[in-house]
Amino acid sequence: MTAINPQTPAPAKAGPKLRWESYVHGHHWRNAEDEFDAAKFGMWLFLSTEVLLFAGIFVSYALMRMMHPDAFANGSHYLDVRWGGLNTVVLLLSSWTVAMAVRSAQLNQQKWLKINLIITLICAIAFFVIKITFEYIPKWSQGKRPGALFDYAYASDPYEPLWWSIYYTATGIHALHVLIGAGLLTWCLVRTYKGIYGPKNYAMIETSGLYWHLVDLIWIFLFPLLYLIH
Amino acid sequence: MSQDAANPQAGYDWSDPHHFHHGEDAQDHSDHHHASPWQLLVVILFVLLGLTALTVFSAEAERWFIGLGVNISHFWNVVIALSIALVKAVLVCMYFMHLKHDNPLNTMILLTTIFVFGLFLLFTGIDLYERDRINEFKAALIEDGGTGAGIQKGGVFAAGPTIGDPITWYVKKKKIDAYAAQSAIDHGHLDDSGAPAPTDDDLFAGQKKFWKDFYHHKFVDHPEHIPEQHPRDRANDDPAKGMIQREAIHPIWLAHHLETHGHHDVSNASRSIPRHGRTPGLFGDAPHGDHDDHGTDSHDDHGHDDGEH
Repeated sequence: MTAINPQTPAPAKAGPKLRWESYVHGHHWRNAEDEFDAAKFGMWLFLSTEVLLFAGIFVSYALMRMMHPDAFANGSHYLDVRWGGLNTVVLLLSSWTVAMAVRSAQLNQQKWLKINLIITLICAIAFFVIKITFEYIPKWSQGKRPGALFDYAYASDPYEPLWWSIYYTATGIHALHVLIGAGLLTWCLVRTYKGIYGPKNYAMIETSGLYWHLVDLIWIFLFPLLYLIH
Repeated sequence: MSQDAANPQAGYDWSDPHHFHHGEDAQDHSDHHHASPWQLLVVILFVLLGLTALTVFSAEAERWFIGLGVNISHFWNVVIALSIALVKAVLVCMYFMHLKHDNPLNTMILLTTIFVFGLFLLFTGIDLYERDRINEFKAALIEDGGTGAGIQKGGVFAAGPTIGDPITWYVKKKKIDAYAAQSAIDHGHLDDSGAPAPTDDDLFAGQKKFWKDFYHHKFVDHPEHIPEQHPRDRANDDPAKGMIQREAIHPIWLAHHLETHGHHDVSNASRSIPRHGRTPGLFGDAPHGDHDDHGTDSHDDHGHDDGEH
């Protein structure tokens, strides 16, 4: 391939054929195009339910915030914007590597497909380590806990336990999605080493990538809502 | 899929009755599967990172404006942060999620979902707006921060007679009682069984110690609010002895007796105060050189002002 026309797949190498080259779409599809579009359509339908799951959290955030602005202002000030910002950068970077991984699969760049997936997984681990080591564990051990578990004696607003409930729910469910997305991409990476993905067959990379981008999208909104707005 | 010109019915394709896919080459992927140019993806990444820096900067800039005597209202704080987030989200959807070159049906799914999200927000907002009507006759049942009923249930929630108090106040009382008991032990105020029996003096000492801690925590979380100190007093600080700055300044632990409970600087609708929590020691900017325990452990067992360091 050349930089001039990135649409051109890399020429097939001599040697044993990779598994994607013999991929045939399911017999119940008219063609591979329909199969791919249907897979992506199904993923978008699933992503819409994910958005609605987080919609509940965002709505509760908005309403509780309207009712108790001081508690949310205080709560936001307990968080360190630098950790949140670092995690934003980590997720944006991983989102980019996933987009590049999809491109690599489309152009049969097997080496770059692997490298991009590995960088994404490293970013996922980094996000998790930062979240737990520098945010969850210190906050929890200080007693900044949700609801009735609250044990921080220096709160200035009676509704701060509510803030922590929203904080842990939102970031916890988001972190769960990071975990699931990392699992999907690990699966993709393992199958990439088997030569399964290439220009004829990359629906799994594409849909897992969509899921990972959704995780990034949610964090794009969680970051200002939790760390910046006060 | 081919059509017989002489006898169209003979070539009728039951899987494509309207000829949507007529003439397509089933094996041709190159036209539909659009591989994004890597240059474009790199540009989008850097735009996203730049917008992240911008949103952090805009939140921090408020503090500078406050220093200049200009208060940016809460409204703009929210609008700026969420507008930038929206632009970032659109970029991710269009270029990373390929919606720009994708089947419009996928975009419609996303937009419909966002519309439904708007409905959620609208109808719960209407409910909140109308709450005043029920609050009139439910007011007697409502307690700030919850009733503490949950912590009456035993197990990890085992607690004393706290029902009717907010959870935050229950936690405060627990801490004050612990300090009073410690004071009683230190002064030998024990009952017959050897358990601490705090006197009124011990209770006062416990309260005093707690409120000192309380304002210490306020200033650790918000170091920019530490009152300016006279150089003469600063010279008296001896970090080796654990003397901390506030000991040499105003008796700020009395601030809770003031009308505003010492909180002059809480954000409100027309004035927002950026005070982001800092992790002391991160990047070498500890707000208090003599306090490195913040963020590592609970503070249950010791105070901050007794010079343990």
